[in-house]
Amino acid sequence: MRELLGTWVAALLTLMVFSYLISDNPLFRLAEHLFVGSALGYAIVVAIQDVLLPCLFTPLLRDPVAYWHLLIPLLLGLLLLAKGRVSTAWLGNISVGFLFGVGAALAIGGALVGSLLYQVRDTMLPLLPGKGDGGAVIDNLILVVGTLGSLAYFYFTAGGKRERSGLRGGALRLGSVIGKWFIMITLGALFANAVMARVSLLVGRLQFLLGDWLGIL
Amino acid sequence: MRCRASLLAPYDEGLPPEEAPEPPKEPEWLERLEEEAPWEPEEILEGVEEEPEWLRELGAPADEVRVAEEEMAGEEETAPWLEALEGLVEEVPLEPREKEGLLAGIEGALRVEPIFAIPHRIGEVTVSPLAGADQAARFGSLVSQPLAPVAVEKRPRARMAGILSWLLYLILAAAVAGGILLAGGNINLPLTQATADFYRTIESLDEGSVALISHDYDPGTAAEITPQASAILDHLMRRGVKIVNLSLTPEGQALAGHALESAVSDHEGYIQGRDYINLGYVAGNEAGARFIAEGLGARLSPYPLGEGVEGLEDVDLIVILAGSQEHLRRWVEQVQAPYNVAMVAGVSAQVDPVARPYYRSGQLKGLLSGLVGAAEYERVNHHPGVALSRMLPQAAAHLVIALFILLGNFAYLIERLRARG
Repeated sequence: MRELLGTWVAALLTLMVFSYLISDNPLFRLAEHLFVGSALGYAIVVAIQDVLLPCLFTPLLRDPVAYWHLLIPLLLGLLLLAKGRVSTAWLGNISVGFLFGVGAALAIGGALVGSLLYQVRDTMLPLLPGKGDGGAVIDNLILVVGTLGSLAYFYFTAGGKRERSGLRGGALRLGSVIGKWFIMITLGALFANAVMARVSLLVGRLQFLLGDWLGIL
Repeated sequence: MRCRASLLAPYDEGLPPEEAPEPPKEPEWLERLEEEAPWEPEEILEGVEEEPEWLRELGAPADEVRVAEEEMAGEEETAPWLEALEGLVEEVPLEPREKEGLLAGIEGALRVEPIFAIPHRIGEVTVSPLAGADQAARFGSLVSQPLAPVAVEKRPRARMAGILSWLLYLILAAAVAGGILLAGGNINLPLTQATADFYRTIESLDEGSVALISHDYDPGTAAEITPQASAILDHLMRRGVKIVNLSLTPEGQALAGHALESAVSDHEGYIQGRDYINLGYVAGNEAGARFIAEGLGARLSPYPLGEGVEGLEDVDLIVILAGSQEHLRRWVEQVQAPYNVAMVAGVSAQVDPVARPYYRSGQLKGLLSGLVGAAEYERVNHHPGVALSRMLPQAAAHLVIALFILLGNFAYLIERLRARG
């Protein structure tokens, strides 16, 4: 019975969202608000059940002496609540600063070590045939030219008029034209992949409506 | 000092004598600068009064210009509209001056701290009597009048565009529905290298190995990634691999739970705590991923599965199921690169262009992309599921979209040729 009710609610909400194709209407907005509200409510419950209770309150209440260090995150969390009042908002800056500091340190360090270094190394490829097969050389050539061209396209400090008209300027202009095409192709691929993802969603929803709800399949 | 005084003069003169503030005290750093300056201000201004060369070339005699300026300055007449405003407009008070710090003595300095550190709140609104109250009342009466119904005639071109949109929706829905109704499990799908590498990586795991799976997606991308998760879990369980399930997103936790329950129901020998464990939601984004990398042993120690798993080095494979590029990058940057662990990823199709460089650089041992990746995996795993059944409607939808793009471009080309005549 519970499953049947769930299927009907999901089917009706799906149809309410599809009704946006006709025009913006109260049914669509109701479904939209329900989605936002339920997602937020769910996130709060998960945060309490999976984070606050098992990682903070339960150990603190069980053995406060052994877990005294958990008072620090508790205090930082409480200070964040002070942001709600204008007069006490400055107290929350300590927690915000801590969050930003840790987040930025991890993100910057990770991007450097995990992405940038690997990607730079992976762009240093052999461009002459001999060691690899011809297909790999063409592949490498496309990658290197595309990378250099894209970098040239975003090179905004080409110098003065004389520099722009020289050999270096000409190479930069040619590189930026090639880079522009590579960027356009990349954006096209990104868009096509986004469309493909949305079509997968549509297929999933229609399969649910025809199969689970109407029982045609 | 002189320059500054002359700048302030118009403001000071405009104030009533009793309200005129004391001349501002110069900040120390400015006084010091004046003392140390190699030239006096008079020396700098020497020659400025002289008529510039370009003005002499224009032929406007400096004397005439000066006379005209004096005449204009002598005119005391004020425009009638400006006179009418007199008394109605309140005098704008001077901006407060800074009393301390580097900006001491400077007026109207924007305070930065309240902008980002103190939440904004709408203060009490005070309505002052308006000069144009009559006009406002008249405007209000005009606005409050009910609008007379105006017959809007729809242009045939706009109507046609609306009908065409509807036609497009219907054709797309019909193509997808038709594909679903006709779909079967035996589609000859070519296997890509990335999927084959993914399969081989899991196939190389021994029985009793430990795999960590992070379900970092939400309902918006579940249609693509849930089939991937089901196929991967099925393969891991057939290989007898111990599974540690978790999620860095709150929504992913529930989706991971469903996928795990479904897979366990197909493999009865799998026992919770011994063969698989669901750690649930791990908060903290980047810090959460690092927390798992540093403290996995402690999290698993209460369970039989955790025997022999002291840290991330005892995990044989990490599988990332990412609905967005941030989730994928989080694991690659915070865990794969610093700890050099074997990692594969199943991603939404829209994340594929971002994930591909990581696969190419070898940071990802294998890559599944979107629903197509899931279908390939089901096929190579000899376990047809929901992804393979969705391939025909997916292909039909792509075909319809490609056809409409071609038709649209063709129509645009004809219109352009017609416009050229």
